[in-house]
Amino acid sequence: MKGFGIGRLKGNSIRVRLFIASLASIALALVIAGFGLIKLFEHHVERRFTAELTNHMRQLAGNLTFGTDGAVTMPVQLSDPRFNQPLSGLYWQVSEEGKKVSLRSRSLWDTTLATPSDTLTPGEIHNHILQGPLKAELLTQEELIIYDTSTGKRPVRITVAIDRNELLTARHEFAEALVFSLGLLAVVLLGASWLQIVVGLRPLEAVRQGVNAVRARQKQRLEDGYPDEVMPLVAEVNTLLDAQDQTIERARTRAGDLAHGLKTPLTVLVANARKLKEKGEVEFGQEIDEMVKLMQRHIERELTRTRVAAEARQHMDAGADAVRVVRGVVEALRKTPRGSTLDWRMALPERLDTPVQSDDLMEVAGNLLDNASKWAKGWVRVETRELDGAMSLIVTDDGPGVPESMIAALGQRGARLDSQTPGTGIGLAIVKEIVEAYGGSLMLQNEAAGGLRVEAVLST
Amino acid sequence: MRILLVEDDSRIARDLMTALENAGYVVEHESDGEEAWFMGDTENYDAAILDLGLPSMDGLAILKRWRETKRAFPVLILTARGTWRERVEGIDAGADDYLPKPFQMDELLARLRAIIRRSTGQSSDFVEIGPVTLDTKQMRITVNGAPVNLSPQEYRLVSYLMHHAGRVVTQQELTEHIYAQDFERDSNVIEVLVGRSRKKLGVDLIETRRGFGYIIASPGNEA
Repeated sequence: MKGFGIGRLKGNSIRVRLFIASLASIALALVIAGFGLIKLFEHHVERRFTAELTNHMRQLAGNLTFGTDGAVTMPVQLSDPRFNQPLSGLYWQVSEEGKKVSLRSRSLWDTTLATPSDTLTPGEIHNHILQGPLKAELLTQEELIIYDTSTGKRPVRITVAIDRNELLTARHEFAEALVFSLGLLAVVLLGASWLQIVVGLRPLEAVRQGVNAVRARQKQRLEDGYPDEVMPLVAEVNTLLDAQDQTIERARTRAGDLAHGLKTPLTVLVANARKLKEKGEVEFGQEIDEMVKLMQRHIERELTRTRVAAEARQHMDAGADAVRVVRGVVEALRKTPRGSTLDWRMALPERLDTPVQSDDLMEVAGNLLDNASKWAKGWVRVETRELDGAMSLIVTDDGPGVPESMIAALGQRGARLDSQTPGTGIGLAIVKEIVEAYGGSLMLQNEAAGGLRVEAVLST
Repeated sequence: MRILLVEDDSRIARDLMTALENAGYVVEHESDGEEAWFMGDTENYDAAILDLGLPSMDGLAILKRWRETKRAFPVLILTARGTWRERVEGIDAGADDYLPKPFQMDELLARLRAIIRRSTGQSSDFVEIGPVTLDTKQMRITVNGAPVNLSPQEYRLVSYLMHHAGRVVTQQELTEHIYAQDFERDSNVIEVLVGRSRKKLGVDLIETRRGFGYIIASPGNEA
């Protein structure tokens, strides 16, 4: 998963953009959710408090007793102990309409609740927010109840109040817990969205690796199996590769046409050179021959180069069995008049798989074996060896060998072979070209017993 | 020796014809693929020089069809397609040798001699029968080491009979291999030619098999 580390985050990154977007949306969603939840909670708590007050009020109303003297008493204590703690925040008071407060909870101590001067109809519950003891805001509920007593109908206003701070405290506690939970949720959501981004973008990384594989010539095309969303990109890349291959193929065809087109005029030139020589113009004739040979060498080199380059692109996994290729060339040479008189000694394994293109190997083997057969007196020996990441082709003959100066010239990379040297025609130049294209080497060595040993190493 | 030259470039063909005729061959030239195949299929040649890129029919296809119908004369492919894959393909299709263009005429003649020599079972440029030696390279005939001055037709006659020593060769066959196709065939001409050649050679080499043709006894039979 190289490439997905935090260290690779840069401004112009899809991952960063997606992450920032999800960060913003998560934050927005959570803030809205937070405020909404607090509002809901507040609403809920207020309803709970109101219900509680109503509850207290009913209990109070049910227990009010009117004595024969007309005095109102509260013979039982209300269940909530806060009514008995001074300034506890939970209060009640009972007052007859138009009169002073007749009863109140101990918690009110020496104060009274200043009820608003609104008119109440019996059975109706009013809610207010009043100023209570210690300047506290009180959530107040009051109801007018008319008691039928022995002293006649008595309208009594019952007031119950609770400090609003209780509500605010509850909200505050809730908010604190909520922020913590939402924070945790945010972390989880961000982690999940990061994971989603990473997993979601993985196919792009796979495409990148696929393109790398194509460039490294391990594959020809991007394969199927990418997600639907990435397939158009994959198809475009493949189309581009097709177009590139076509361009290369066209260039190759043009190079081939050019080279073949030049061969006919060159043949005519050679014929003219011969006629010149026959007429006594030996110097001119030979110079034309030299020039033709030079041109031919250029043509062959370019043909070889385009072929090697195009092959490397096109059939990259179609290596060859070197032994079959070499055998094919030997069998063909053996059928020619010169080849049929020679003893062909083959020191070849059963098979030798090599990534070297068969056309290139054929060119190397053909030219080396043809050269050897040209100079051999009785035999030509051919051997293949498997080296680490390379192969070598060794051709030995029992001919006259070559001058040491030529061997020295061959050692230099890119050195042109002297066309005057017998036996070192265009063939050896082509071999050298191919061997160098494969990053290998070509070694010539005169054998002690006479003859020449040529070793071509083709690495891959 | 009668050669079929299949080459579509007229300049190269003209030059080749001159050189081959100077070398003592009877040359018939054809530039169209289909025509060339027909010629090779119906006429007798001692060898063919075959270009691959031809109008109407590819050289390799021509060669394959000849070989399928057991036309066994040796074929030298002469082509601008010079890769080894193409060479191996050409030889596998039945060619005896392969020479890429541009080529040197000396090389072509040497290779042509080699494929003809092999097809007639000779192992060198020299054919020796008794005191008579045929030097195919220098186109010379010597008797006991002394050169004999033969006309081109006489040389072709003796050369053909020596190459096919031990076999009776008909007059018609001789005419085909000594003269070009359009030559007016008259049996008298061969008789006259044989008579003149015998006189020049001065040794009893060519025997007449009346009603059949002529024969030179092979060295093996002589012994």
